[in-house]
Amino acid sequence: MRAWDMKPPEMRASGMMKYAHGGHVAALLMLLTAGLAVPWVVPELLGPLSRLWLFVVLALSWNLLGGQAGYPSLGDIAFPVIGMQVAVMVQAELHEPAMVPGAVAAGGSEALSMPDMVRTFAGLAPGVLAGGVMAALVAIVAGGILLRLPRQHFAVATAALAVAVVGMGAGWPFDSGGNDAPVLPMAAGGPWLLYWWSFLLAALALVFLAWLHASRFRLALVAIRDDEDKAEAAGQFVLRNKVAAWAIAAFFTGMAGAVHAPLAGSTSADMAAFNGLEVGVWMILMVLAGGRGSFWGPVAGAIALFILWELMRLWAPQLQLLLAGVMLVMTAAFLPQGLAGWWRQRFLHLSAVAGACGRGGVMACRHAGVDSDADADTDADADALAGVDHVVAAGSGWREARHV
Amino acid sequence: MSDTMHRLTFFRPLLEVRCINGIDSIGNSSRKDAACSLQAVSLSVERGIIVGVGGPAGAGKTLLLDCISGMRSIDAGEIWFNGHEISHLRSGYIARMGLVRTFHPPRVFRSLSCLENMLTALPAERRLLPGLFAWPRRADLARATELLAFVGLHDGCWQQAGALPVHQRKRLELAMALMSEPKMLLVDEPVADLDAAGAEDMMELLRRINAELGTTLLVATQDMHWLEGVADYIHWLEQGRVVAAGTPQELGVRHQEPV
Repeated sequence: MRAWDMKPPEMRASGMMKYAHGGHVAALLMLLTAGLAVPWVVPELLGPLSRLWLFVVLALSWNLLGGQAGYPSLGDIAFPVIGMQVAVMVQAELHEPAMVPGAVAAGGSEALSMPDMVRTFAGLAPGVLAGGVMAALVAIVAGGILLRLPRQHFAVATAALAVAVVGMGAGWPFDSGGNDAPVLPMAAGGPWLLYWWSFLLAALALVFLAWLHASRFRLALVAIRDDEDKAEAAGQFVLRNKVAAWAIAAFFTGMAGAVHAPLAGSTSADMAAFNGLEVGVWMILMVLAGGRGSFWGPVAGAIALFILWELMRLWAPQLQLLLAGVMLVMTAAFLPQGLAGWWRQRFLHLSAVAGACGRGGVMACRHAGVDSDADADTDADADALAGVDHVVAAGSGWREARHV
Repeated sequence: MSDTMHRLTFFRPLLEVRCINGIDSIGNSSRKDAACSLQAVSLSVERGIIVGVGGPAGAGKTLLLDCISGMRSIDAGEIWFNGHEISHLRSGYIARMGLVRTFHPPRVFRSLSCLENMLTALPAERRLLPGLFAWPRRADLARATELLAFVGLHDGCWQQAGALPVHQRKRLELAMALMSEPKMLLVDEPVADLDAAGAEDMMELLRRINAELGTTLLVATQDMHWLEGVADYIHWLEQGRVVAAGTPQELGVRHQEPV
């Protein structure tokens, strides 16, 4: 039997094909089907759910460099802001087909005709694409410089980048663009169209990043997180991979920002609904709460925190940042591997460390006794083979492991 | 040597180290009594043989490997590999030219499984970006499994590398280096932390790598006795200088089978 045909339970924690197997494809399809059904099932929640999809995009994108490659960027919020403002500029330049005179004149109370809807939907496209591309270009240029720094320095430098970009929007000297640029007025079908835009974007991000997660690109990123010097010494294109990861993340977050501009009705980075620096904190928090490095962790984190976020907006908007702080502390203390780690431990009976973090793992004991020249730890491993439930392998940083 | 002869790489040694000075940390190599620095070290490695670098702890063996593999810069002298000067290239370039090293203690990507570790080490032209987005091919997986079996990790494909014991991580690191189809392998301390039987196995493995895969090896270790068993030619380092060089026979001590 060839080795890759064997599918021991360990695969669930660290196997390569785990995202190509049926369960994950099914989960992805279920999520997308739910997204398709929403406009008919709960039409009154279209606005918040559009924002939810955008949050999913933000979390998944941040996870690419911050979670998998271990380069936490505190400034990824710069990309939605860039995307938003570039999109508005481009749409203004193109004399926005999205603005439908009839509907606006009618005060938005009339439903749009079908061709108008299509035009409106398509009218956003050039702006959204331009926003994403511009954000990716900024990431390539900035990443070429900043990603040479050690990761702590990188985090601080990106925070500076975010402050600069948000500030630049406020002091924008040109007619179009900037914080108070005129956003396309949305007609009656607005929320409906914007929901489809956000959903389309999220579906695109989910499918593409799921693909990427099963590809060798993820392996290259995790290698950078685990041991960057070794990756470099082994001849990997370390800097190029980091920049590519950041550019992909920027492309998606930039498009998310571009879709958000008409959703919020403003391009202001300081607006309460999409407060630049505050969302910047939340998008990191979503990944940390969900479990960085995994694929479903950020999605789960985005959904969980989005619910909290919306409730806070309703009841106590002034406490949002405080809640974010408390959440951060609680996550660090009680869920160091996030929801994904908790799930792995609770339902898959695997060490929470195994999948996401390189701190040793569970799969050691099963095969450790194979070689006759195994070291002194073999006794403990032999016990594990004999069916002992818990093994604590001391001395080499192994975590307590429970065998299924 | 004329310029034309320089280009006839086949007739030249695979690796030439000419009179290099290296320093261990930030400091000045002109300080002659520096504890760990290389002073005018020269050696050459012909194609297809196993060369040993021996010496007590602190003699500069690892430093020499660091200098050759581009992880540290050298002060003086030059290093040539396969007809190209690599004295001041970065480690990534050197590795992609086919000069790959291992570390002591072994360094693998801990949160990946053994098979995934192997897949990060595909040959250099497979690491370019558009191709990196592809899923691993069956042929790659087959090659990875084959190499893992070759180094003696028969069942370890799905094990997490960080959870392996040290001697298996050494083997995994060797397998990863071989995965990239190197012309030459720098092996740092292959037998440190191994018992006698493990050292025998490692000797056997290095010889098989040399004989079956045709890889040239430069092996650095403290264990002179072991080195005489495996190497065709030995350089003995002490305090950053080559104090003796020759075949094991020339160096005077015949290899004796362990009792």
